[in-house]
Amino acid sequence: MDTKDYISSGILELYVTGALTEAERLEVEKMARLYREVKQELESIEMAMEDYAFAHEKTPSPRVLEGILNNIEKTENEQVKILPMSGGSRLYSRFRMLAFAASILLFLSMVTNIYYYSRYQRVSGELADLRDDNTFLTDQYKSLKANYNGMEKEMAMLHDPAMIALTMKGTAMSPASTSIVYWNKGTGDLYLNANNLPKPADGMQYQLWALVEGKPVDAGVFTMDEGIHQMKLIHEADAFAVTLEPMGGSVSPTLQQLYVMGGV
Amino acid sequence: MAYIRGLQSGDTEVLKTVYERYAPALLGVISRMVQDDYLAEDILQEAFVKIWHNASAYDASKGRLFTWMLNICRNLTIDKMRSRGYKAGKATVMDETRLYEDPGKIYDAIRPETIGLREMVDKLKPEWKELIDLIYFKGFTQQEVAEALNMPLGTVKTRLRSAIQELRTIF
Repeated sequence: MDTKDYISSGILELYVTGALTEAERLEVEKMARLYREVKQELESIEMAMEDYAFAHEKTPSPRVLEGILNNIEKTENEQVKILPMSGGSRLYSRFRMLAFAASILLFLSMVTNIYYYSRYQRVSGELADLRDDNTFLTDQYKSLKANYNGMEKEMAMLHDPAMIALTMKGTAMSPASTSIVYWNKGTGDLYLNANNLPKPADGMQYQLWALVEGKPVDAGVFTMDEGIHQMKLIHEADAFAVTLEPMGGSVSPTLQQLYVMGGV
Repeated sequence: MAYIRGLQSGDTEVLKTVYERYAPALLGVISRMVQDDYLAEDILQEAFVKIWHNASAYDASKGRLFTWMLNICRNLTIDKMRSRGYKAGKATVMDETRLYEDPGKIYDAIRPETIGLREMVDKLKPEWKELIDLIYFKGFTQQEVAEALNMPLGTVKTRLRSAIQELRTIF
């Protein structure tokens, strides 16, 4: 059906301004349910008329709000008011019957309550378990994603043509060890792969140094975890070396503990 | 939509907020219908109690909250006027001056956010404003407007549409 004619007929305006009979109103509501454009037009008219009403507003005196709040409070109190018992033996026996019926109902309701409460407890236990599972999976997902992001970043770095790889060969301390530094001279990015150094003694840690004209510059300490370590930015170096230092690293290298070394 | 949920859950703080926001506009309409400020406030009060108790009946898919509240006010006002023998305000049809008789009194709610709206309404053509006001503020039916303004029934519809169209371009 073509809703254009319907919309332009003016019936929607009559609807919003409250000039339609009940039957006509229902018809408009049906049309609005069926046709999106009718509903949208209706809403635009509503908003215009709302603005129109706001343009003619009039501040009520404070007694109105007070009256409303009092009235609401009153009706709410009435709802909890309990009817007082009155005397009379017939009334009393009826009351007893009612009380008996009420206590049976109360008993049944208690049984139902207990049943539903236990069900509720079981279900909420299950819900808690599911929540835990969900949290666990989310955490796992997050840590995997972080790993993946890190690896992706490393890959991108390593594939940068400006990245050079330098092999550091083992010294007399540890002839079998080798380590590789990946260095981007332009950006200063420096990575280290040092998997086959001997396990350091407790309280000791390896430290990477960049040698600039023979002077050592700290390039950061590292632990013996798997993978490639990102080290400090180094913009100039003639050679790189790794020494074993007390935990946290030293200001200058302990040359007696030089493990691997390699020139640029 | 937060308003209606608050009302439905019985939060009187929300009721106060809704009252602050909408009561002046609602009272503006009611008092134009009944021409009696005190009675208008009584009706507003009754309407809000009704709004409070019937909040669950409001169906957002059928229209805006304001429209729903206004309909409650409007119906209540019409009932009151009938019971008081007003004949729904139609006695004042020809006495149009009453609608605007005391602008100072009627336009007493100065809220900064609505001053602009008021100026815009003044831009509306007077005959269109009259048409809108008869229906919106006085509760006339289409038939009654046709009789009062001596125009064909269909014309009421199309003119009202043009009037509100213009209103929409003004706002």
